[in-house]
Amino acid sequence: MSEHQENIRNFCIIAHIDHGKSTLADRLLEYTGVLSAREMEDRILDNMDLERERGITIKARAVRLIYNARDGQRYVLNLIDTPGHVDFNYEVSRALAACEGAALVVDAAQGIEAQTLANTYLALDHGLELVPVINKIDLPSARPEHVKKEIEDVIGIPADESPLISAKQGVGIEEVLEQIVKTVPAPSGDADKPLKALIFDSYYDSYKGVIIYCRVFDGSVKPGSKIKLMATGKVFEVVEAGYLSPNGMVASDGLQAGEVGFVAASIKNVADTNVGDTVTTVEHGAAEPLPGYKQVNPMVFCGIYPADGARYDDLRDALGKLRLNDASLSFEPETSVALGFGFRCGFLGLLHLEIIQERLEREYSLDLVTTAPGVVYKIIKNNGETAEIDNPTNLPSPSEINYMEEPVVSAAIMTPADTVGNIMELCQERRGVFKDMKYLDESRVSLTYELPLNEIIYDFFDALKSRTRGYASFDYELIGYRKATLVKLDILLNAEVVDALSFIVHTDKAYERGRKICEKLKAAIPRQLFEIPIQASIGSKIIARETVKAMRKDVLAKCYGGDITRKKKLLEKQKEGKKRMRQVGAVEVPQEAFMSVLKLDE
Amino acid sequence: MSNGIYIHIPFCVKKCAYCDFNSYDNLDGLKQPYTEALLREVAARLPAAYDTIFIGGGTPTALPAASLLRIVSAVAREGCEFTVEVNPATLDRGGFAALKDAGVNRISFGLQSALEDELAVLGRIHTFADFLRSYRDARDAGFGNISIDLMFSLPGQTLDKWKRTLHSAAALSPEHLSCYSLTIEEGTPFHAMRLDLPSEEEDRQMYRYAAEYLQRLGYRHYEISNFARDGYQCAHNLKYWERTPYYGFGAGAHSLTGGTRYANSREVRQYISANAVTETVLSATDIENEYIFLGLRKTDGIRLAEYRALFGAEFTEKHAAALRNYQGLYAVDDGRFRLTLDGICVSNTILCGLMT
Repeated sequence: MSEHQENIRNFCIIAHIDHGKSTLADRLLEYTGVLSAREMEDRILDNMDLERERGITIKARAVRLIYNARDGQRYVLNLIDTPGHVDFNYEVSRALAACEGAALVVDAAQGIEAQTLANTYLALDHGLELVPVINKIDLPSARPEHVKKEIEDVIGIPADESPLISAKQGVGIEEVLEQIVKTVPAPSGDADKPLKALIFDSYYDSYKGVIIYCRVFDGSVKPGSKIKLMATGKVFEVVEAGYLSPNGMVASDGLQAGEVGFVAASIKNVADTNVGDTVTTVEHGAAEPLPGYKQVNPMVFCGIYPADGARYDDLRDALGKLRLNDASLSFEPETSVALGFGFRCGFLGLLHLEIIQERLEREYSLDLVTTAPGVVYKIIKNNGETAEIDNPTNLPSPSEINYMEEPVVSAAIMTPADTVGNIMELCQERRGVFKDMKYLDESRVSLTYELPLNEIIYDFFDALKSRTRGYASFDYELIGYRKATLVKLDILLNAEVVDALSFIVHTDKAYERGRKICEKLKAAIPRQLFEIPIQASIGSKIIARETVKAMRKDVLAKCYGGDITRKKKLLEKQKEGKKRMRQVGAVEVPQEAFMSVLKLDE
Repeated sequence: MSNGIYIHIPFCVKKCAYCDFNSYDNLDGLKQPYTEALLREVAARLPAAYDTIFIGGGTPTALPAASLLRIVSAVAREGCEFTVEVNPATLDRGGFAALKDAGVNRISFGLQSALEDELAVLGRIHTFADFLRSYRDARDAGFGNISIDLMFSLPGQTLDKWKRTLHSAAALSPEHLSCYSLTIEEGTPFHAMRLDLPSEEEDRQMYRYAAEYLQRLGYRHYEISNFARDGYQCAHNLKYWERTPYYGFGAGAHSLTGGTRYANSREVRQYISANAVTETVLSATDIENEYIFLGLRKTDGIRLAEYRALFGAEFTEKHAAALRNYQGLYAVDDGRFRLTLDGICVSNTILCGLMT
């Protein structure tokens, strides 16, 4: 059994976004012959449509590779793909917990970026061995020696033996595999101990029920085993177990200590399997579960409503299925006067929110309306009670509030030295507190700021990119709560408060935000038979106002010549459009209007 | 009222930049075969009884005079209102006389604007002077029923410019005037251009000015865009709005008979070689919706008793909920339901609320 484990390497690839992680994964698959060249499709591990289009990896994914190394041995390499974006650190740490090592891919032209560091620290926290890989050496601007030095200086790990590769052109791939075999330790589990397998992912298959992706640390699991999921205590009988090929699951006679693969056990209920939970056997089970993952709390919240109220149940089921392998997603039912029945959902960040929203729309054909994202505020009341608010509607009356606290993050921004002024200005606008500035080399700077989370969830990253010609990179972590003067801003349409548009904002920002939202709504709400005032208010005080003028002209001038079908279709289309609008009091509000307030800088 | 006859001529000398009608300025070679195909269709489908005829386009007078006269003769009948659309400068004095002799008794001129700069923007081939000459020729030939088409809300147009066009046309005392607000149709050159168009407010100023001015001169505003002296409402066009049966001939022509709509092949070559008729049987809902949205184009609206007889319900009761939102935009009088001028200006919104 130990001989078996000797030849296993469990590793993942970590990198800053766009440094070539997924391309390297493709090359590794190709090189080890898991896929024939004919089957090779770019970015094979990114098999969600959304991932391909956005060019990012959202979900961790695993695949088994067979590599005949130069030492004459045959190795089983389990590659777990990870996302690079800050919002998905949680996914990264899930993958890391299942591995003994990580290939750290760094772009030879760009060098270390914010997420390179963030992911490196995560990997080191998990005790992983790192294999630095310098990618994109085919670029004219590549400076591999410089990047090697940067890795040694900034991260502090030796990089002189780093493979210099071009994943795009397939250069240096064998060297990466050799380094992984050499540097990443073999798993050291005990196959004779009670079963301990870490669930690092799962998904729902309509025929087989919940499929668990796991890493077996100790013991073994095979078809017929009676297993217990330690967090929920639920018991199941294994129907199938095996490893993961890029084309799907390949059943085998079971999984041994050190191996990575899947288990299917006719698990019908999505809620029974928690990612991060430990699988053991019913008989002679493990006494203690594996450490699991650090519980990640959602930081960004918004309301999600079905555009068609009749699809509320579909939305609930879809959220349940997505949550199955995305523990960082939370949702609870809520109701809005303007939008009806929906859910208050929690996310790790704005990208996470957008991804979930798009997945709901694409994979479950749901038409959604989302409300402005917000964060969790702490309310300290005059009577000494404290409350946490993730929905502005639940904010107690100002007379009950002693003070409020908002979440603050520590943000690391890496940027070309000549853009530091722009970044400082941006952080200043966003109520940032300067903490530190370090020169990475003569032309690149690392800045540390403390920023209120609610200042970065809207469009901070976009603003950062546009002020640095796209060169800045950014990562953040929550550092705690801080007292702030915050107010609830309400939006009134035709003198009625629209609950779905209320949000909490810093006093200094209230006027500007109120004004911008009124402008956006004015542009998004079509003229109607009467004039519609749009107002922003704090309590009873109106701080901004726009007006949608009454409609003056909505008529088909010409209707003769016998062909009335086209005119009839125009009217039917208009009528259909009206049906899709939300009735807020007497005002018909298009779904898009609710969304338009989300992107105020456009 | 009896049936109506519509004949479509899909040719013009030069296609205008705003026009999305089924008409072409590059199919001259098809004029002869088209005439033959059209005459065959007329021979095959002309109903026994009818009392209005309308030859439209395109530009009917873009056909060679002999061809147009063969078509006119094929359908002309005693006692009909017989209209031919004419673009200024496409027919000479002799041409008008020939039409008159063949049985045509109403001319509809596409003038659009009296101002040269606006005519140029629209892509019209005539000048205002051309129009005046044609108008005189038509009168000289004995036409006692003439309509003039005008357009407002044109690129760069102001209320003052619109007044000049309107005044110039009205000064001729035509029996009938149509004033159309320019609609930018998809697929036209105008749609692709960045035009300096009047605002909704200016558009409605022009519209209201025309309505008020023409009524002062004794014209009755009888449909959204149409004005006539007493006895000169276009009986043919009223059939479209009152759902009286009509038979359309030619490429893309539509017919309504016995609760079914028919459409000829729109493509001219297709029509000539093998016309394929598309048939749409109307449901009860379709018929009621059509009745409402066509009937309310007329300023005197729909007859409540007729609605009750046709659809078995009281109009105002059935639509009571919707009507509450439209106070001041409609009126119920003389047993009729009609939209007021304010209501007509936003009639699409109201119709959406009244159609099922």
